[in-house]
Amino acid sequence: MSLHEKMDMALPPRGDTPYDAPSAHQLIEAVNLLISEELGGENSPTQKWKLRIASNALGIASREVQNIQEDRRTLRSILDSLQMESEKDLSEAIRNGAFDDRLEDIHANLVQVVNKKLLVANPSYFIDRNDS
Amino acid sequence: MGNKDDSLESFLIRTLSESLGVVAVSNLVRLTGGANRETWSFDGEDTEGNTSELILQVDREGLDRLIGTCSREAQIVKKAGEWNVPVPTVIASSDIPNALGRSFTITRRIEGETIARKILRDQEWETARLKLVTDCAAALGAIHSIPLEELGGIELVKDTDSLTSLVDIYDALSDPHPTFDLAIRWLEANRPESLGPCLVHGDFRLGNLLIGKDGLRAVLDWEIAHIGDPAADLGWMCVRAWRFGGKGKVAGIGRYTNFLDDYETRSGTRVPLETLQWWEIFGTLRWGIICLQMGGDFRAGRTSSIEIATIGRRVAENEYDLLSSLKEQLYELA
Repeated sequence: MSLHEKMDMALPPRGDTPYDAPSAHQLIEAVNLLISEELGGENSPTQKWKLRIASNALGIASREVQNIQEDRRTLRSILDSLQMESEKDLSEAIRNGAFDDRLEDIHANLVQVVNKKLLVANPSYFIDRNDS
Repeated sequence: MGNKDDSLESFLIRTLSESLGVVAVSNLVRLTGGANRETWSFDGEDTEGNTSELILQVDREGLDRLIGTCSREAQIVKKAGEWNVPVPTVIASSDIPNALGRSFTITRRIEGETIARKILRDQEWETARLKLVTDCAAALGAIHSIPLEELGGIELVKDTDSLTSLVDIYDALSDPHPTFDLAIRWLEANRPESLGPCLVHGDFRLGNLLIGKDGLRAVLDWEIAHIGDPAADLGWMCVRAWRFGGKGKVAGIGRYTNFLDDYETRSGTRVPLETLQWWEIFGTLRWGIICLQMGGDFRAGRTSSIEIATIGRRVAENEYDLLSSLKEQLYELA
């Protein structure tokens, strides 16, 4: 076997994972592709509607698997900057008026948190693409 | 057709044999949409070959908080029809335990479209679109004008403080979302004067409206009708979720001022723009909390529906809309 042939056989890197490939993200994407192809087939409107919902659900799962580590760090960092332990604490503080004198600041922080969530849940929902 | 559908056919024949003389059921098809109810279209035939075009609505299995609401809803629909609200004709309805094990309503089928995206975009509905906001304002005016004494025999929740009722539900869910709390803080500080009480539909929006080529033909889905503030129905129609991608602030096609003018013409009540916008923000918070609650039905194992599961992830859309709406408003609270 030539060096060239050996290089052609090299598999894409698995990354930092204890599992074999394909990854969870790749598996979800593959199933979603299968479902998307079915959407173009001869299914009834009801079946297509159900498949579209399933495809949307897999899209959310796929984006979550990709983004969760970074988004978790961002949320933690925002909560720390507001000196809050959890979202529950932040909710209570807002409701009690503890942030009434810095609403602009709290609004900006919540925009960051919510944009991260929306980018996973439904990226087509942003009115201004720059929001994301 | 499986056993379940066979038994559904038998149930329909038994239920309709006396009122319509039905001896056979055909074209039984489950329709898409409706997260809380199953909706079926079917034809009932009598011994002389006459066909009745009908719709069956049944409570969805597993969602206990909605069980037994069909019959009450049918009473409201009948009363609304008497007061010139366009509604379907009710043929049968019951909460009594039956072969289905769930409450149900059967109505006459009306030709038309309920799918919002088609109504907002397809050429076929262009004429209807032109008068849709006016038709909706007229229907809302008719609903809100039904004298309360006419509703005496119907079990209707009296919602005298919608915000407190909604916050109670949110708190009971024990799943805090700081954006919701920011919205609650603003809503509490900016409450408008009440315009009620009157009958409120509670879910008046595209998706629950049957549209014909000539305009609005029927107001559907009265399951959460109650006594409350009429502006709640107007604000709900303006929530972004119910614009279905359309650019207009009212149902995706209309302007606030035209909607308020039309409503005033029909009802005699002028709703201030600030009041409408408060109820729109309230409606956005409400839909966000409903999404949280429906997603919770999946989380708690009360349903395995993937549709309801994904509604749980629509919470973020409402948080985004709330933050967009509150951006300009917050500084009034400070």
